[in-house]
Amino acid sequence: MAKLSEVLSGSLIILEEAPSDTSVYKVLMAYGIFRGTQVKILRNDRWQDMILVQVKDKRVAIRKEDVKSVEVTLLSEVQ
Amino acid sequence: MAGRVLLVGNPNVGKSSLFNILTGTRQKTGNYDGVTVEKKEGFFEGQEVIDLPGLSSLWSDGIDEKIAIEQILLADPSKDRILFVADGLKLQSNLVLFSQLADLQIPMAMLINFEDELKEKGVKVDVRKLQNKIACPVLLFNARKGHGLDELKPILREDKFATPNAFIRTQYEVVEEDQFVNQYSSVVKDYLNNPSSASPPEVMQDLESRNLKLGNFLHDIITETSTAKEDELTDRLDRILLHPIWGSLIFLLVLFLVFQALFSISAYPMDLIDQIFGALSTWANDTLRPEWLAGLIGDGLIPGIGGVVIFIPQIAILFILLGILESTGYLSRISYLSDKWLKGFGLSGTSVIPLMSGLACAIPAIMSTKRIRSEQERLAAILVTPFITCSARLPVYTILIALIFPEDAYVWIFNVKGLMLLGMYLLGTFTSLIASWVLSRFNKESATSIWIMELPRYRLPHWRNVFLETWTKTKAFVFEAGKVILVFSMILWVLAAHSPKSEAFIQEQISTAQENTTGIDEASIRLEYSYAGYMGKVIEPVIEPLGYDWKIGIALISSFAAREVFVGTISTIYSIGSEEEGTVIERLRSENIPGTNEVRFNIATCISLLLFYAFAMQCMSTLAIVKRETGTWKWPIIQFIAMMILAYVAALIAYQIAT
Repeated sequence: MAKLSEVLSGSLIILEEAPSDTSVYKVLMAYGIFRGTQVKILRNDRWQDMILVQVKDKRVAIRKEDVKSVEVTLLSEVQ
Repeated sequence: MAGRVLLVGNPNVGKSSLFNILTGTRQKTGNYDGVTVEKKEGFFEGQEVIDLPGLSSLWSDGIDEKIAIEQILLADPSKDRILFVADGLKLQSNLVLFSQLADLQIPMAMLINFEDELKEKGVKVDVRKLQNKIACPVLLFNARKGHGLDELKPILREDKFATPNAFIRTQYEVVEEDQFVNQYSSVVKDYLNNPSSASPPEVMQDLESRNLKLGNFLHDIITETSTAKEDELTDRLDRILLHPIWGSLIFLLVLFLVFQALFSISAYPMDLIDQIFGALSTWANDTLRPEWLAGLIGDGLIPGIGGVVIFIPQIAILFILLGILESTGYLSRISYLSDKWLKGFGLSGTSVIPLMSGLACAIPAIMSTKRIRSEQERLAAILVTPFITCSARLPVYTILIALIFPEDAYVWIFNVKGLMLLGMYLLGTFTSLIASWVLSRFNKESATSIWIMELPRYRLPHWRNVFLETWTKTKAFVFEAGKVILVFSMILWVLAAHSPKSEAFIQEQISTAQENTTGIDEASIRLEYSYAGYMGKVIEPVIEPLGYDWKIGIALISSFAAREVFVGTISTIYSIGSEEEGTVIERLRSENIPGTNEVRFNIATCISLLLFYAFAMQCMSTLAIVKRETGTWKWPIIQFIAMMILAYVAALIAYQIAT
């Protein structure tokens, strides 16, 4: 398991467990990030404190601070 | 069917473009979430069409999303219809909402939008198979080009909508169909009124199971012949445009170019319009008879209309440039880039869209704050947005900046007036941020909301929509603001051309003044003893420390309704008060303080006026919309008083320092 906000750009992840903060999960689901959905990390932007992910054909930017409690499983990691 | 057709779909799927095509109205469209924040009504061949704000599911609890859900739950299946608009490239996530609507058993039809992009991406949607599975009409559509409209029209005209299968069943499934519908509808209704009525796991389970089932449901409907899932162009552009240094520099450069273009491109048509109206005014005064008619037309009507028409080039260019930024998808990137530093002011990247919209007009900008999830942040955005330089301030700034700087003033290749205008825009933005920071100090809780936003693919501007929107907004300025300006100009002419004193008294004043001081205009004395002159003199003691005389006082009073009225008023007042011919700028430049050789519109007075108009809340419509959005008069009253105090103090300090 890894923190969503700390995953490196280019990694492929999956949300195996629903985040404990249900209000965060509800917002993530509204943007297509469900339990079981594969998500590609396009950019982990330390400068802007943002994480840009690709969910299917959708690019979604998320403020890292808001999802710091969200844990994900790494499917492939960029070194 | 004599009911309503509701346009429903996720955010940014092209509902507003479709609404514009169907109803012939010119609703704002854009390539970012939340363009539509409240329901819009129009008619297609006598049939009522309602464009609802985008929503991702019936479990949404944003203010704008609740408006949409309320309308859906009010729908009467016997006569109301839902036209569901989906983004073809995001069909699975869009169908989560569709499956929920299908459970409500309202007759529907589905439009799969962005047909052109599906082709570009090599994605095929088996429309016939989808139609058979869900048992309601499905059409491929291109709302930007209007492709598919011929197939859509018969559905609307002949009511070919159909009640879809409740094709995704969840935990709400029960044996009897009617019971199922009623149960789901009442669960959603309860949730709408009280979001804690459905437990979070219940909501999550519903959404998750729908999403999971849709993955299987769509596997033989969508085929992707292209393996390139990433849009290379968007990736490449984002690498530069979201870059910490290059991205910020490009954003500043874009803003800079916008304001340079505003002054440089619009200068030629504006000069031409100014000269035409100057010549028309001279012609009317010289040729029309009787004299009162010549005055009414030459000094009242023509300068009043000219004061509106002259700003058409600048306002149209501003709207075209903002429209291009919106429709290319760049506006969402601005939101991304600005979130970190906006957070320091108690706002988030979501607030940047209302703030940017405020460049055009504070009214739609304040309405668009409905997308902000945090109530505190939303209130802050509502209160600070009127500081952003709206298009109504543009005419005021243009005329005052033209009085400060000579023609053809350049620093290297940059137009100095353009730089000054950029400075005024930055001042408005900076003030709104400082005001927001001050407001955030009063909040104990964290004011910012969860920031998440879709960054759409970059698209070429949809020129038709950009120009239609520019046309609509410019027309609104000319006919809405223009009407007010024209009426005020005519009233002012009457007040300025007539006096409560007798003609003999005025003649005596003219003789006395001309004996005592050389170079005093007769027209100036007449204006001083007119009704308008007396009004201006009542407030003169209050505004004198700011460098204003009673003539400027008349313009201040009249522009309390709307800022742009200042220009029409000043054009009318100085047409009447001066025997000089020529353009408005020339007349204002030649206006002296009575009895001296000092110009009235010197640098100190112009800067004082610029600051007054930058900070003062002189827009009745904005106050009305703030009342509507906050539900109380408390906030517009606080906003009005605070902004007026700030305007007065800033203008006072600036004038006293500059002199």
